[in-house]
Amino acid sequence: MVDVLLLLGSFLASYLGFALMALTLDRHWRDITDRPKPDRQLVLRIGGYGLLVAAFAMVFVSDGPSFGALLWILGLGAAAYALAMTLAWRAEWLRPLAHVVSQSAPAGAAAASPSPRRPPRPPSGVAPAPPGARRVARPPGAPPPGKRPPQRPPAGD
Amino acid sequence: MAWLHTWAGVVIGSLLFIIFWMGSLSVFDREIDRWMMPDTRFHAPESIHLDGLADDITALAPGSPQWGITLPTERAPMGRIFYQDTSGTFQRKYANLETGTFIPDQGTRAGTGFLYPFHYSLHIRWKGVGYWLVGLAALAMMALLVTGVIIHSRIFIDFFTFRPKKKLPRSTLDLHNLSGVLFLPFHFMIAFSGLVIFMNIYFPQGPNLAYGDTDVPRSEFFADIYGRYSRDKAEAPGPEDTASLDVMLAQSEAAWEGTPASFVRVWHPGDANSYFEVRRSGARTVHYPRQVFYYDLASGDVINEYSDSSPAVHTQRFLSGMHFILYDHWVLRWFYFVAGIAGCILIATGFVYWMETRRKKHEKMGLKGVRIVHGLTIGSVTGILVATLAFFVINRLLPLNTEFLGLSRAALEIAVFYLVWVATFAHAFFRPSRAWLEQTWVIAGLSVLAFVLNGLTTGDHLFRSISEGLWAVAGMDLMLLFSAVVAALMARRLQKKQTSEPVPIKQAAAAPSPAPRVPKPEVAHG
Repeated sequence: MVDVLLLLGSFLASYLGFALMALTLDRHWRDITDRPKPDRQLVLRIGGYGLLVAAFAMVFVSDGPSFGALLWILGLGAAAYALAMTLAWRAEWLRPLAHVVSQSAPAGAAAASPSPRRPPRPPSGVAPAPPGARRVARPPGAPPPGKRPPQRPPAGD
Repeated sequence: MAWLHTWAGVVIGSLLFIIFWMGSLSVFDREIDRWMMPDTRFHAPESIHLDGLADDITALAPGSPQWGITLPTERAPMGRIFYQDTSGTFQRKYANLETGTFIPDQGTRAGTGFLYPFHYSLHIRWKGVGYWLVGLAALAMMALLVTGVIIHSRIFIDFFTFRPKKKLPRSTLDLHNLSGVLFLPFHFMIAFSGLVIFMNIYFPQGPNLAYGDTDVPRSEFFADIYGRYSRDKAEAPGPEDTASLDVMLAQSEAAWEGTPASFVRVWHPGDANSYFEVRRSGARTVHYPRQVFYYDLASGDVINEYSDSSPAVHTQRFLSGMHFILYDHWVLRWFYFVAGIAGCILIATGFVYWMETRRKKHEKMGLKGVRIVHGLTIGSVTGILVATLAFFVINRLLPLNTEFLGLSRAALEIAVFYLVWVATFAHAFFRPSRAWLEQTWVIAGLSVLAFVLNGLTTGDHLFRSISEGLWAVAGMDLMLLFSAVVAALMARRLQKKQTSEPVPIKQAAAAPSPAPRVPKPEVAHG
């Protein structure tokens, strides 16, 4: 019974961890709520990664190192998939979470983010990050967004 | 990078999809067996009795140099017996090891005998070409995963993004990136461990290097890594009263701290030098153990014992155990299935995206190959799903002991699988514009048909299988229903898009025509 709860807890922690990380991305924030996005990237990221680590701790306790590692890696994939589907079809389910985040932001933090609605994104390439947002990670070896060749059809993107 | 990703994907994609599809099914191969072999739908026995059955098997196989039994588990409640008949060919038989009775031949190769070998050998026996093709596909998969992350670099900005309402190429690419990145560690691991499992096939010269100074490098190598032991026949009859198999089995399991044995074998039955082999099962660990006891059958004494301990062997066993999932863990088993299906989605969406972004250009260029690529893709994506379902349906339609044109029942089922598969390729080639849609409808229809036929022909309809706790049967039926629903939803969406889309005038002239819009017809197949 305890093992079942730990497994469920681990999955939920992964899901919530990814949800917090999704809230740091402008696109997903706008899908979820109309409120302005507070400048809470660091806190959200630390919280997100912390929950993923907690997810591992739970399966480690319930199933030991080798089964735990497999459960964790596969659980992460499944949780992230579930989150992506939530964002695609039922983004409003995450609204309470977003509101908790925006309410817990220190007063005036929202103002740090210049505008709730970003200017329309350029048709191709990568949108410039708003001043408040942190740069998004790029894989090593990929061209930096600015220097991207204009189009690399058709397999690119 | 883009070049490698595209070409490896297009050339090997069909093969990869087939391997991933069959692999995903193999996760539940024993459950599929239960569904396809109605007489083996019972609960695993509490205790098993080998001694009584041993005489029956010896009577069945006089002069057989060996016989063995794969012991029952929760997932496969019957014992699987093998022996050699007088002509030396291997025969198989199922038995209930609690009552010691044989189960009539079920006339099917089912999951473990057909779908699972398809996954790793493609059933191409000739010169082991099947294994090499699968190895090539595994290698390509790893290359595709790495290049994919690099060329689809937007995934890090669009993380978690799936826009089903956007146009086909966009939503397909979203799904492609999502499935690729989120299960990347798993897909990489599964491709890599697949290669490690067949190390003896891909690196046949290994033993010669390490054991080159011995007379028989290969068998020395196998003795070391698998604990293979053998003792010659004495050519003299053994004693009337041999040691009890059940006692030796219990002794072995006690030595393994209660971990059950998975397999037992009697060598040289009836001979004075006859001996008994007991292998430990991998039910409790990820690592697939190789621990074996050999007993002298006359006295019941241990004559040889093997336990893998070298780090290299242990690593190989861990990787292969991770791939085989012979351990008992239902949550992980389902995760493997989901990740496998995600792999199918990854490959299929990659294909659809590639085709859709180029189709118009290629048509303008007047390339005849477009239609062939189109046909190959549809046939190897929806086609193999249709063929698999036809395999299930025909299994429920043919009476036991059917024979036709000299083919046994098991061979007939397989013939139907291949005939239907070939038909889907032909269908895709001749009706390129409608093939996705029509085959998706066929998938929905066949799923429902298989579900209904199981209830009608075996009486184990959903209510009964659930109330009696036959979870393998219930699970298979539920997955069939689930796939029917998803396929029907998919097909309806396709239909809406296809009818609402204005057909370009040019296309009235028959030939390759409009956009088939199925991003993921395979999504729910189980």
